[in-house]
Order: sequence, then structure tokens, then C-alpha cells
Amino acid sequence: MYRVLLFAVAAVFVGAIAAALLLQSPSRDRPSARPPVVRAALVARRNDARTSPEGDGQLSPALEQALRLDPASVRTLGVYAAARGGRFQVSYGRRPGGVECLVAVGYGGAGSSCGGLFALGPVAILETAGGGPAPRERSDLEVVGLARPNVARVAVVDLQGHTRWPVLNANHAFLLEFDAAEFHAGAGPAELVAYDSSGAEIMRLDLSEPT
Amino acid sequence: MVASVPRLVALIAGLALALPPSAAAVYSEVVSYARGYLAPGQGFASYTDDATYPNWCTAIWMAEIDKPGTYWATAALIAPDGSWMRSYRGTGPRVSAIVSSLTVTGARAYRKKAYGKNSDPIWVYAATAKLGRYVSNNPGCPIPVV
Repeated sequence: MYRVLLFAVAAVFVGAIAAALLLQSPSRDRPSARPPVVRAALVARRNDARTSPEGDGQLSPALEQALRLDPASVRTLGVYAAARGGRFQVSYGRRPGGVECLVAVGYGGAGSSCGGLFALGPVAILETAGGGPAPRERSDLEVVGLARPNVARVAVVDLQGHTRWPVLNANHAFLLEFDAAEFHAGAGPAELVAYDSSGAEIMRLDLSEPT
Repeated sequence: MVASVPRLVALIAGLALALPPSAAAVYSEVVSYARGYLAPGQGFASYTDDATYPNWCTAIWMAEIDKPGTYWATAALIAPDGSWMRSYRGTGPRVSAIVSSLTVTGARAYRKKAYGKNSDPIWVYAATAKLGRYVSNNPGCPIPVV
């Protein structure tokens, strides 16, 4: 009887230790874990060096992870010189489950618009801006687009009524940058218009920001 | 038999002590949320983040607005004075903004919020603004807060 009791106590003790080990989960304060290779890329530097791990204007593996993109799905749509130096990279990628994303990287940041890219028409749009939110506080604004094959030309009408014609590249992508001076002069984007090869208008999208 | 059980217990207890605590907890994503309904033109932000979190060792921050529908949504990272560091606007249901080129000192000087805004002129939508912070215990971390 004594042996049975002792064995039962020992079993409870072992079980408690096992439970403690299991509950010592490293993920108790994090919804997701990342592989070690990305960890190294995300770490900041101890000094005051800029922390862009693999160069600004480049969709690095670390950023792909942060944006939850499937690396195998990512393809570069275009690389554009930025007005203040450096570059912008425009990419396409999918998240697990197939959600499509339009991605822009540049000026020390990265952003994406995912899901329903073409829900409003044959041109998917992602805007990226530095500073703000007031227009006079903006340092830059870029209109990034990805067009379906039936789009032959796109136009961006600014707030002053001037029409700009960004070039659709071979991947049907474009980037149009407004710099701070243009913004201060009231030349932010107002409307995007898309045309097919016959010149017919096939999309018109309000780009003005609600006040 | 009676003697072997304590030895087994001691062995397992010794293993528990020998294993490094949270050995795999070298990388984590801490997220704060703001959930609610946005009227047309209305925006909201997650609560202000504590920039002096003692163990963080990264300067990559992410804001994300996650909402139904296809209206414009803005994701922004916001400084303490209300100015925006960088923002992204898109028609997809999920818009993300990342600022990755801050210095550690610079990143600590800011408190960040995730911001979302409903640009639909008519409809009210539910939305979630998330603020992601990537924390690691890589070599050299944590960096003491000064």
C-alpha cells in the first residue's frame, strides 16, 4: 500500500514537472514566431546607424516576413528612382491562403495593400506618403499602381486640374511621385483614370483624401 | 522500485533546471489593437505604445488596418506630437505600414500608434488597427534603456 501511495505521489510530481515544461511556452506573449534567419535580419543595431537591414528601397526577406508574404510568390514589378535619392521597389506577392498584395518599399518604409486589389476597377492602387497627415506636412507622396492587361494608359489628375501620364511598364506597373514642393503648391493627386487600347475610359477612381 | 522513482524524479527535475528558460523566446511580435466601428471619414488609432519597453531590440514597427469592404484605408505610424512618420493607403481590406530605417535611439524617441480611417462617404465599417513591435533577444539584446 505504501509503495502504491509513494508511486502515485511520484507520478503526480512528474506530471507537474512535465506540465510546467509544456506551459513554459515561449509564445505566451506573441501571436507568431519567426524563423531564426529572419530574426537576424530584423535586429536593430546598437549604435545609431540606420537600421535598414538590407538596403532601403528593397523588399528584403525580413520585410517579406513582416508583411506575411509567401517569398515564393513575390516578384518585382518595377524599380523607380526616388526624387530625394534612393529608390522605390514595387512588388507583387501573396499571403498564405492566396491573398494578393501590392507592395511598395522606399524612403525608409514598406507598405502593402492586400486583398481585393482590383475590386474597384482594373487598376490596383497603393499610396505611400512621408509625414502628414496635413498636406503641408507631407514630405512626399507616391501613387503606385498595378493595372490589368486590358489597361493601355493611366492618367492621374492632380488637385490643380493638371493631368499626368505615368508610364505603364512591361509588368503593367507604375509609380508617380509628388514631392514636398508640389504638395505645398496644392498639387496632390485627385483622380486616377484608366483607358483601354481604344482610348475608352474604363475606370475612374477618386484619389482625394477625405478631410 | 521505491529507490528508482526518486531517481527518475530527480533526473527530470534536473533536466528542467538544465533547460534554458524560454530558449526559443528569442523573437516575438507584440501587438496592440484598437477595434471598433468607423463612421464615414472617421479615424482611430491603437493606444499609445510604451517606447521604453525594457527588452526590445529592434527598430522595425508595423501598423496595419484590417477591415471589410474596399474603401480606402490608411495605415500610419504616428509620433508623439501627432505627426505621421509614414503612411500607406490602399483599397485592399488589409493595409500595412512599416518603418524600418529608424535608429534605435530614434525609434525609442517615438511613441507609435496604428491608425485607420474609413474613407467611405456613406457606410460605417468595423475595423481593427494593429500595432506590431518586433522584439528579439538576439546577441546584443536587450539594449539597456537609457
